[in-house]
Amino acid sequence: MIRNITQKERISAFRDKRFIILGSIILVLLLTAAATGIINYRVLAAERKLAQSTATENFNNQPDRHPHRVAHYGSYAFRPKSVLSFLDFGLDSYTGTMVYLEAHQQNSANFSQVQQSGAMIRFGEMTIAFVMQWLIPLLIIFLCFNTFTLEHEEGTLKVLLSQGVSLKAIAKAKLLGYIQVISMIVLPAFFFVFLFVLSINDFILDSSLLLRTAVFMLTYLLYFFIFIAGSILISALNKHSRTALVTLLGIWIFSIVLMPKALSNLGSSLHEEPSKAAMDASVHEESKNGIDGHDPMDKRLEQFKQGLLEKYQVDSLSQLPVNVDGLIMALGEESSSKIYQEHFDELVAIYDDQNRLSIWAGFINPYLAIRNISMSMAGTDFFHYVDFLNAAEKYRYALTQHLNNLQATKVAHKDKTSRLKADIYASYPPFYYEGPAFTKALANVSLSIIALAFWTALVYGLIIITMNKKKNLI
Amino acid sequence: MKQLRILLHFEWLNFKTEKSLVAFCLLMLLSGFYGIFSGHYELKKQRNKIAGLEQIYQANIREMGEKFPDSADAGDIGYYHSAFAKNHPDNWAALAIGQRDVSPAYLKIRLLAVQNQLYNSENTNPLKLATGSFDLSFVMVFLLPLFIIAISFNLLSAEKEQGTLRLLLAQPLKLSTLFLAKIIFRFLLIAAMVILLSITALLWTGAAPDLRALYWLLAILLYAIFWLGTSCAIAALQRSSAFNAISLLGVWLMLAVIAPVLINAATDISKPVQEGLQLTMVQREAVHGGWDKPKAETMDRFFKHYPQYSNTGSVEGAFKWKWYYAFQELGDRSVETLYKAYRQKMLDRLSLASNLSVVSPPAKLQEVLNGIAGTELQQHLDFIAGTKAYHDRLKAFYYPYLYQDRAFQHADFAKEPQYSFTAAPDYTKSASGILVLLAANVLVSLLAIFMFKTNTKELK
Repeated sequence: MIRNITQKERISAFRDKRFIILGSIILVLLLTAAATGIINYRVLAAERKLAQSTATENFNNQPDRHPHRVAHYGSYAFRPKSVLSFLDFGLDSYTGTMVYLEAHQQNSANFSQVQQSGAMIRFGEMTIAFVMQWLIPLLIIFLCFNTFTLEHEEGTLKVLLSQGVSLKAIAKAKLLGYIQVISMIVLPAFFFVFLFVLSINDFILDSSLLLRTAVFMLTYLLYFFIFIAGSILISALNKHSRTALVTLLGIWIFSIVLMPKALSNLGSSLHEEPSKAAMDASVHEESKNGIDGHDPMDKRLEQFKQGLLEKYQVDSLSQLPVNVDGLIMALGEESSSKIYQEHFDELVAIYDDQNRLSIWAGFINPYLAIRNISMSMAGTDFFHYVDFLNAAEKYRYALTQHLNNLQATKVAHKDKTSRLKADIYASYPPFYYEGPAFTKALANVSLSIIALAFWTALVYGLIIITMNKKKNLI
Repeated sequence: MKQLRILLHFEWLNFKTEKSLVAFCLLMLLSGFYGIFSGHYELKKQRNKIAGLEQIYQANIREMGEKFPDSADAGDIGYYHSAFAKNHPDNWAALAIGQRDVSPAYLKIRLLAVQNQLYNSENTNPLKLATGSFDLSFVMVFLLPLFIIAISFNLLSAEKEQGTLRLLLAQPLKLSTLFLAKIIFRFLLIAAMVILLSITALLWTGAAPDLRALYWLLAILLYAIFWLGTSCAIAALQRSSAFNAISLLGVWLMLAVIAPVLINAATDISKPVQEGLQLTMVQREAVHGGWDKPKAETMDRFFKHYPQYSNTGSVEGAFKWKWYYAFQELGDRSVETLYKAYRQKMLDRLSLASNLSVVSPPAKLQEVLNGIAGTELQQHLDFIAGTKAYHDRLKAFYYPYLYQDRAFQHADFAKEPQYSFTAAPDYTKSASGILVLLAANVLVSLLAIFMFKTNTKELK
């Protein structure tokens, strides 16, 4: 009997022309999304790779220069596209792609996609994640909204119950049936996605890539399950198909269109971030005058010079075995970078405060949970972006200090014009960036995964409880 | 006419008792109020950031005073001092934040080569940007159609399903009159909401009730009629409420989500932008290459543009700022064509997206509203162009000190040029958008009438 119900749901879904049409539209959109995602990935990845290699080439082929000239000439960090970004663009279009790395100052990441687009980009982006987060739930709602109400309206539920089948058993059978129907659409799609993942990585099996893809797919399966079970539940709780449908659509609109925007705007209203200009001014102020006006830089420099003279037992700076200019520069860089890093960490903490509301709300709204996990696995969330910015700053600092060190050891005191042979610069390794490891990305979204698991248990539990309570009829 | 008034009255009575309808209205109003508050708050944050600049500017000038107590070489000032180009929002921007949240509201400008100073970013939270602003324009573009669908998807089907339609038609009453009454009632309700929210927004944000208010209301009311027309066209099919709800949500999804998303994808794929990255890198090579070129050659090229300074004297020997700023300027000039190409590419992307968006009234309305508020990419590009011109004014101010060897006195800061920009509304774009919305209305009204005529025969 149970098997019959499951089979009936499966067969009637595929007999329903409207479902077939909607399902096909979604499959076509999935393919379109995959295609645009892959084109987008290839174009942007190639563009940034080329830009990074041009930057490296320019750096390695520069003329003979004074080390401090090179420090100002600087370098670039281009954010490489993560391989899985084609699944979910996440925040990629909203984050800068290029950081200019130079001595004495930390520049913003510039040339984000959104800054070069009109308002159209704000409607969303065609990605596999978009289809799976927005459209498949709608397909599920459409498929399941009248599963109980129709039986009720047509009187078939009574007949079923009179056969001695419990309401709980019917619900379970229906659940299984719809899972099968949705699987028939989703699993082939996942198979193609998997092939795309392999092909985009030139068929090299990479454990982190596979793990990310696996978590990506598994959590989406939970997300779909939540919608299937939730729709069945709402259908069981309503007398009429009309009200069940309107309720479900209302929930969809509220959780996918309305709530994410409201929460993220609220978070940003509650926690105000400083402007870049104000932040830079504070860094400048604090490195010049010391934090809270204690220990100003001039005084520290005097002490530093005095210390050197004493250490090497000489009378004047020009007698030192090293060039004090480079050392002073290094001292300044060390202090200002440290202060910058503190301010940057504070800024990131403010952003985390702004975003916290949306992350915890995963327990109220499974869409927010899956959105977070999906971006993270694709390597396109805020955490991955900040990791890149930190890596770029780390490289900038190391490069600058390396050049300061060259000045200290290879150029004479007060000499601002001699040039070092270019190959001494070319030997410095170029900027190379690899995103955070899978485990770190996973740990960062653990709360969202718990939220999704919580929802899975909740909807299943509610079905069981409701059905036990309602033993006979609504 | 009297019949119509009676029908409207009963619609009103019916509306008052229908809890879900009242709830929808409240939800819509609540969202609208939150949108107004949130847009206003976002603007306030931007204004706070701009307001904070004055203090930074003054602190910098004080520092210059400490560093160069008597008089200074203008070259030092040009290097260590910075001014701000400010992009002040109009109050209207609170109603449609548009692209203002992704573009910086100010640019920090030094006398050095300007091209790598024009594209710096502000501190922004990318998750917030990606989720988008919850401003009044969002409420109008996305939620208003859903509200309209919610109150009119069962325009006829509800009466039919409750069995009241037959009773009504048993009276000496034409179905078309009933239909019309229901539509008029809903339109009045929607118009009241739109006007109430818009007036609240104007009062709350202090946006000037000028021609823009007229454009704003016109565009949104046309948009509302479009969705009402669509609902009628579906309702005229005389199918079940469930069918209507699904079809209308499908239309909404197609027009408000999928079409814009596809238009954006098409724009990105057919017109990718690499010019920005290219511009910065080429400019850096040109500027820093200046250090390695013969000084005389650089100066000769510089004097071609500034013959008035050609007798400024030799720059050979020890470092001279004159030479430094000459190659900075030449670095900018060497990428002038790239700058134009970059700007043009962004304009092309905008116009392509704008042309494609005729298929999507929601995208069109967003464009119109952003145009009214002056918050599109177009206006930011204007600000960038204005900032570049501002840098020219700074050069015109500082170059005489530099190249005529005049000492820069601290008091001269008072004469430094300033730049504040406020975007003007883009009436042309808004007007053409409104025409598109009008055309969409005509189409959908014809469709609704046709559907009604062909599908209601059996009922008559």
